[in-house]
Amino acid sequence: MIIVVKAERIFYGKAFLKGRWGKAKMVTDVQGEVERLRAGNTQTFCSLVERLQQPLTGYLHRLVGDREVALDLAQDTFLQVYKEIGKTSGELKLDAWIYRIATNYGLRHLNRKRLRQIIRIESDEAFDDSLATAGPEDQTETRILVQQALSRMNPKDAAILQLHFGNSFNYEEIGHILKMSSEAVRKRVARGVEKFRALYGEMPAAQARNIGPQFIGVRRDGR
Amino acid sequence: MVSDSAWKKDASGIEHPAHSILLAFIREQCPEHEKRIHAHLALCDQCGQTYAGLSQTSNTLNNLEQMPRYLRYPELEPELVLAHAQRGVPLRSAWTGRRKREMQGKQQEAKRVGARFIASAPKPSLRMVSLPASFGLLLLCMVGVLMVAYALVNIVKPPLLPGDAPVKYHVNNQPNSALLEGHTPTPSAVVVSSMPGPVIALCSSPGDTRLVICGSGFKPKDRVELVVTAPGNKRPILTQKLTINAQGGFKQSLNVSACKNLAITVVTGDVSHKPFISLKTLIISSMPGCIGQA
Repeated sequence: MIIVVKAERIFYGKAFLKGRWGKAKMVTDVQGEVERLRAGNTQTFCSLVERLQQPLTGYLHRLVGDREVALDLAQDTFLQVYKEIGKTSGELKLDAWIYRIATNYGLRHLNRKRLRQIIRIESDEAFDDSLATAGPEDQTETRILVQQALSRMNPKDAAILQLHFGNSFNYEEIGHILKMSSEAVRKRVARGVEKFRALYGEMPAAQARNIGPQFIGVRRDGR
Repeated sequence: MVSDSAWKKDASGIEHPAHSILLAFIREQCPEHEKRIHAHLALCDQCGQTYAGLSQTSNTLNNLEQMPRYLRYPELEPELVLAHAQRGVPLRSAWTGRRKREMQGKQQEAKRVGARFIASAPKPSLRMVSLPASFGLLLLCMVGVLMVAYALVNIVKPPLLPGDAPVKYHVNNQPNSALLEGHTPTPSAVVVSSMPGPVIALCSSPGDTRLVICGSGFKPKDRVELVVTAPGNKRPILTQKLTINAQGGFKQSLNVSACKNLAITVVTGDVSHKPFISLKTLIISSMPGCIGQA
């Protein structure tokens, strides 16, 4: 395990130390940070951008399926944070609030894209496979299928799955991000998984690999 | 704490965990249910199968977590973002966004290749009109087209077809002789052109089986052409070149085989001019004295 951590440190370098990849955990001791941000402390804002830019961009990339758009939306998110933080009051869960802004930007982009496709202003964009092709080759096909299935889902359902499976936010944290109860998140995640399962199973490649919604064996080892 | 919605009773009264609870159990999100679910899965095959299916989907979705590990995004420059925020520039800045990155990419490529320019200058992308504006524009265009179409329909009268009943200008074929004694009978024809100058008229007398067309006000010794057309015929049914007499008039008789439902147009024009210039037009709808003739 130590070896793995070392390897990651070497591979990601500065970014690993700065930000949080995949496993995003809410930073709990941020009250001071929020206060400093509200006071307009530029140094705090810069460190916030450094801390969150990579995981946030990754989340947006997976959500909207376009790297360039994700970079723009991440930038817009931070600008919005700077602009709106002074208007917030009371105890603010900073990371959840930032992810909520990013989610809203991502969902708005997806809705506009869908509208443009409906009225044929914009043709279907080519599938951005940079997400799927990065990483071990043996899982590339699965990652492509996962991304394609998610892109066919309701954006909000897809966002919830991205937050939970992609960024490892727990149900409570997702509740803070999306302003929902943990109970509601639990049901939404289950519903999203069911939809994903159906869409994933419809894909010919998934069927060929026999990894559709049909039942294969009994495993009780959880994750 | 076990909520009611998390467990559901079947027909035999046994409680089964809902799918959402099973998934939460797989995802380690419901510590309060863990023991009970463990115990239940050991006994219930049906829930075991559901559990297995959800586990498989959960494992597939875990691929999402792997993706960002191998991706590296360009570092945002916090100072630049801050400067933009402080200046209050629009949030979607072209310079800090996609265009800048494209430009930077091209510059890097240029440096790498060692070329001064890569192909040609980047073409500005075509900006679409905003959606509400385009809808408004479309609506305006449609209204315009409808107005033009309506105006055209009202201005252009449909041509007289052979089957159509012609407009009867001469209604009464037997005028009251007492009232019109000594009065020249009104020709049952209409001179369309109201321009001063030459005049053509129908000068058949009642009972005359021939259609007599008279002209006056022309230039003496001019050559004119009498063109007789009938609706439904593309070509004129008669063209006759005439010489205007010294009094500036002419008289031409035409044989009419059927005087009923007569609908002909007589045009006189100057022959000396090419193309043919119409001088006067006479529309004849019925012949005076046409009674019972087929």
